[in-house]
Amino acid sequence: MADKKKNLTPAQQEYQQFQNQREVKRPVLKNCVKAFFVGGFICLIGQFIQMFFIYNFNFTEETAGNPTVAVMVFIAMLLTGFGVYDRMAQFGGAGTAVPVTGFGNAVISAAIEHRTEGFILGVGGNMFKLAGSVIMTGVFAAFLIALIKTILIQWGGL
Amino acid sequence: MYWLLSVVITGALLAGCQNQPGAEPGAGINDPIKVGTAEIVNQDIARNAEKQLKEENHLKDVQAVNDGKKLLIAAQVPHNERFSLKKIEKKMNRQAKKQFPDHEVTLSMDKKIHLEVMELKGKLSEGGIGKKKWKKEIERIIKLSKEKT
Repeated sequence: MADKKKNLTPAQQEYQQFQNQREVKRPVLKNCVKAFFVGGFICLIGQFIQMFFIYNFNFTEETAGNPTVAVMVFIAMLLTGFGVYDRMAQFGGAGTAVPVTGFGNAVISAAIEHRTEGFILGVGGNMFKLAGSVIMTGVFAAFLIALIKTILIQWGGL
Repeated sequence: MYWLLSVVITGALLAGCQNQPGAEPGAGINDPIKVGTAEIVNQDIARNAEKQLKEENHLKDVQAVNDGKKLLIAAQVPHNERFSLKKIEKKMNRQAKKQFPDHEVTLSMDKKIHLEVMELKGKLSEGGIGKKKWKKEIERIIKLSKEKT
C-alpha cells in the first residue's frame, strides 16, 4: 500500500486526499448492528422451525437440525425467487449471508442470473458457481477440524 | 427500516426478560402422582433418582421413569449452562450410574426426551397406560435418545 502511494504523482496524491475528504464514510457499526439483528432474526425463525419439528414429529434436538436446515434453505430459495431476500440482504448485509439461508440465496441467485443461457449450460452449469466454493470450503474446513479433533483425542487425551 | 429494527429489539427484550414461574417445564407433573394407589410399575427408583440428581446438580428440571432394570432420566439445565452441556451430562451420567449400579441407566439432556418422559408420566398418573405399553414406550424413548441422524 505504501509503495503504491509513493509511485503516485503529486496530482494523483492530491486527488486521493480530495477523494478521502469527500467520500461518504461507511457506517460500519450501524451495519454490524443491523447484521447482528437480521442474522439473529433468521436464527430465531430457525429455532421456531426446530421446535416445531421437536414438538410435532419424532425428532430430537440432535436430529431436528437436518430438516430445519433443509426448510430454512428452501424458504430462502423461495424468497430469493420472489425477490424478497435481495431486499432483506440490502438491509441486513452479512446477517443474511452468514446463516445457512445465504447458501440457498447463493444457489438461486446464480441460477436466475444465468437462466437466459439455457437450462443445462446456463442454470445447471452456473447454479453452483457461488455455492460450490461454499461447499468446498465447508468440506475442507470440516476435514481439518476432524483431523485436529482426532489428533487431540488420540494423543492429547481430551 | 428503523421501525423494523426497533420492533425486533423490543421483541427480543420483552421475550428475554419475561418471568413466568408457573410456566416451568414439568411444573405440576411431579405433584399429582397418586402415591399409594395402584401404580402399574413401581416408580420409587425413578423418584429417588430425580430427587438425588436435583440435589446434586443445578438443574431446571429432571424427570425419570423406570421399568424393571431400565431407568430413563431426562434433565434440562438452565439455558446459560447449556454451553457446558456435555460436561454436565457426563457428570450426571457418572452420578446416576454410581447411585443405581444394578440398573441400566439412560440419561438424556434432550428436550424431546424430556417432553416424552413428561407425557409418559402424565399417562401413568392418569392411569391411561398398560404395563406392556409402558415397557414398549420406555424402550422407544431410549431408542430415540440414542438416534444420531
